[in-house]
Amino acid sequence: MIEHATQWLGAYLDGELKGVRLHQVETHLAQCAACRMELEQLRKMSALLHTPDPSGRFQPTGRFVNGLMLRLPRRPERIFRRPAAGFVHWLVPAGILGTWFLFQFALGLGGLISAAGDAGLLGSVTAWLPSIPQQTTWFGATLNVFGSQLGGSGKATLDLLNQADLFLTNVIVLLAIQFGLAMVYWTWLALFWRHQRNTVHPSLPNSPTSSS
Amino acid sequence: MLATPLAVMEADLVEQAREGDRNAFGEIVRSYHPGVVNVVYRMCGDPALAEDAAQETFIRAWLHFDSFQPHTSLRNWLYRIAVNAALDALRKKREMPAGEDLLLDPDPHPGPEADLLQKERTELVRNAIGSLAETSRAVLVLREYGGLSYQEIASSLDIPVGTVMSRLNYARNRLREILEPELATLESEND
Repeated sequence: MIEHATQWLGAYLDGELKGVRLHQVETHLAQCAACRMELEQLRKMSALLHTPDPSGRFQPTGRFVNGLMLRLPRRPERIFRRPAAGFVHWLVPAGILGTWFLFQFALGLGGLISAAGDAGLLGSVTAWLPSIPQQTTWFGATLNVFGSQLGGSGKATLDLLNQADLFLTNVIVLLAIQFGLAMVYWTWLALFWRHQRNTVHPSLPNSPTSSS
Repeated sequence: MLATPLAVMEADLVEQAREGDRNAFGEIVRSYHPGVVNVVYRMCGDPALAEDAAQETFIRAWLHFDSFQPHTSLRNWLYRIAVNAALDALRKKREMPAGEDLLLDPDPHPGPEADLLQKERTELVRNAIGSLAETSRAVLVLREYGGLSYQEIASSLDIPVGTVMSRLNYARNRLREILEPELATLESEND
């Protein structure tokens, strides 16, 4: 049993109560004269709020529509306005993500094949694949020109530099590709966000949502 | 759920209006003008301001029709724009120099003696609603004059249903305090 139904009477009057709560309030109202009186007061106030009807104070709908049609501005053209355009613009992130996944997959697969080939697991199966360059241009040229003059430690240093160059070049290329994809994706996100902000504009500004 | 012929007709008009058909939009305005003008009038409390706000509502709707989601309620969407347009109109009015408080503006067309009581009552109600905070007023107007359900108000104003209920309770309690003498007079008139 609820003590008093005061806080639910408005919702009851508006037909917004259902189920157990509705049953509770109805049961309470049948027993509580104070709440019945309160409900009656709410009904009277609602009736008072509706008197009088202000419709006579405004211009007739027909005249309003005619006036409005004359003042109706040209609707600005928007990016992504039509559903088809909306579909197309969703292809952009899908394409970027697809490219990224494909790239990662190819990279992973390449690494696996390369590792398996190096371990001799694939035998001659991978012979047709183009071999990965093991030396840089500058390394080959240096060896050709100064190879005979270099000692063992010199060659080892040169080889180390060659490997470092190959490694860094690979890393930089990979990073550049990923960075490029990320930039395209973020650009799309920024455009999408701006589009969303523009399209919901009439509903959102000054929305009276702060606390009463 | 089967769509009624009226709903189907409205959906067609909405689609055409979204495509830029002014005549279709005119038909939509014709349908919703009474409701929108009632909501903005109750928010503003001033007929002239309400006319402007109603016009602003439909112009905003026209300009941003492509942001309306066809599967949602057009009435809720328009009422939401109407509430914001009314609040904007009120703010603009307040910012005007030497402007009087519009909620206290008397009726420019005073009628015969018999209407005086009714006019006083109208003023009382108008001022009572106008004294509410914007947030509570918006909820009360959408419920009492827009006829929206709590759920519809919640989605129109982007607030939870619980907040709708608490703001409505607050608004009604406040109005009862203000209109208490008038309610007592009404009771004695009916007795």
